[in-house]
Amino acid sequence: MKGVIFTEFFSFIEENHSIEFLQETIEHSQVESEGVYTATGTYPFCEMGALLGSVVEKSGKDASELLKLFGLHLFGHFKNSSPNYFVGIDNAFDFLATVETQIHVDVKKLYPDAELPSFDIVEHTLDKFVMIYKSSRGLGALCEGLIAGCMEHFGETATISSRTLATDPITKIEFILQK
Amino acid sequence: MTERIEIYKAIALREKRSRQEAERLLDQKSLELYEKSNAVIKSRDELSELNSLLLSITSSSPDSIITVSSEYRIRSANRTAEQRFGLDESQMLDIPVDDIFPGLTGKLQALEAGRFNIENIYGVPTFGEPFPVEIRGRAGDIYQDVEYVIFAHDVTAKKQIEIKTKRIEQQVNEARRLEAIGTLSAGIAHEINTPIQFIGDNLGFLIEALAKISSSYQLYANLAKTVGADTNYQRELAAVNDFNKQINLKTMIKDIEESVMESRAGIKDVRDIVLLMKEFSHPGTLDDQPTDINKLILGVVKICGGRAIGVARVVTDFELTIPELLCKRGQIQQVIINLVINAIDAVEEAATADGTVSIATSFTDTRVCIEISDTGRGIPGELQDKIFDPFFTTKPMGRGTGQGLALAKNFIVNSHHGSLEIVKREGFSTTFRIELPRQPIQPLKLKEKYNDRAP
Repeated sequence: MKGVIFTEFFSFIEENHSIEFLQETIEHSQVESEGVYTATGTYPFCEMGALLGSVVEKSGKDASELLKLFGLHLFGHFKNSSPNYFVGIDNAFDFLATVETQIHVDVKKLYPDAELPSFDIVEHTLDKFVMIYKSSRGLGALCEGLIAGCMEHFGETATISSRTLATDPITKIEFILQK
Repeated sequence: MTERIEIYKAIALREKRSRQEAERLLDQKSLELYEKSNAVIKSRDELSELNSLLLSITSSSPDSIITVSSEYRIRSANRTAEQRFGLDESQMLDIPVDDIFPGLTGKLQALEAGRFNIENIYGVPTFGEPFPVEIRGRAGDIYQDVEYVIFAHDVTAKKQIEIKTKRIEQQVNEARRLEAIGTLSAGIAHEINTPIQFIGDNLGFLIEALAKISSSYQLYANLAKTVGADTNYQRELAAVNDFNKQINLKTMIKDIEESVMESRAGIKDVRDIVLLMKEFSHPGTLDDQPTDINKLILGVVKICGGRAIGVARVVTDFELTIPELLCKRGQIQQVIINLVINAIDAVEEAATADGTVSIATSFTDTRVCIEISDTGRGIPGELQDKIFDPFFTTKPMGRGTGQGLALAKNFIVNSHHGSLEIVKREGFSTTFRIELPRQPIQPLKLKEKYNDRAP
């Protein structure tokens, strides 16, 4: 998993709790890296699982809810760090359609070893957007948080419903966005 | 308090290690970037070199290399194409391919994917005449919207050679036909010679016999005059005289004499012509022979006279004191025949009422000169360098083999060390001047001559 997810996760925990809470979470998780991450590095996904579990345990929050909130935070970081991907796009559905064809393509150019989820667009109209999330990591809640962040960025509202199509070995979740 | 200090220390340590990790990654990425940059520079240089090589290959190609879109418009053209069609790159791009190869679009439309050959098509340059091309190429998805790549080979020279070869073949066939006719003529001349010989002899006999008959008639006339007063023979004399008067015997004898004399003169002409034909058709000796050039020319005039009837007046202007010339007689005769026939043909082409062919001779201390002139249309300046080339002729098929002047030049220049050239002569449009060196009699021949006379 890319280091930026870890570093942003730490920012997210710091913002919502405290730097001390973060440090305790790291120590509690007993991750091998001892919480030493850089945005451009690549680290084992299992450390994210351990960190997440530690936060849930210490905070008593629901893991899915935590991931959705982290997704919202992550989208905010993304729009600040990569404004070029928003140029010429004025709605959330059009932006979501570019994730697979532009953003992931560019990430692969910079980090050929990156393991990215895939988004298959099933339907794309003015008021409805249907996509299938596929990943071996099963971070559907994080994806939902990112989608919500996107809608919020463009000032749009839509009901987001999801349906899990498969979980093993690949998680497949259908997201339906209806305005 | 101590516990919080430990946390902050741990945080500080983690941040420090994170910074160190970031610096390590930065170094690593910098190194990767440097190596990738070098690889990119190397690839760029290789691509540039490859591009230069490709450009050099296409530019130096003798063929026009053109790519064509699925809309049958030109997408690219190499330098050869630009030069051949007189268009620069911007003028060629996006024009319909039919603009430079009329009719090509239809042929391309009929193609299936893969390699193809197209013949019988012409390229049309901005300036100059259309030129024939043979096209080889490939149809299919070549590159982006390029559907066809065309290699157009200019076959102008090839077509010209084909035409020339065909013409030479026709001329060789014509030469063979004429050779066969020549062989046949030699046989006919040989066969005619014998009957002509005895016809001449018989006419000689008839002339002698007629002279005797005439003498006998004269004796009778004298007798009739002597016995004319004798009444005993009046009846018989009257019968003979009446018959003689009736048949006009005296005049008849005179007419017969004249007819036979004319016949003998005519048959002598025929015999002379047959002898000339035999001589002309005979391969002849390659030894030099003493030759009376004026006499040789008169023979040629006799042979060619028939061809000049109704076409040209053939006149001679001889230097009568011209000495005998040592030459290969058969060759010189053939050269003069060729030139005289050409002169008659030239006059016939001009179709003038008073066309003239003139043959003049002269000599100096070292050379004998023969000039054959005509009042035809003349030879255009641009052709004067070509007329001595083998197989060059301006005559229609069946009239010339293109060998006459080439052979003449060979005989005069190479066999006799003389010269054959076109000169200006007042009153004539074309004059061929032959100059032959007056060779001294060979010492060996003098010795042979002396030995022959020795006792």
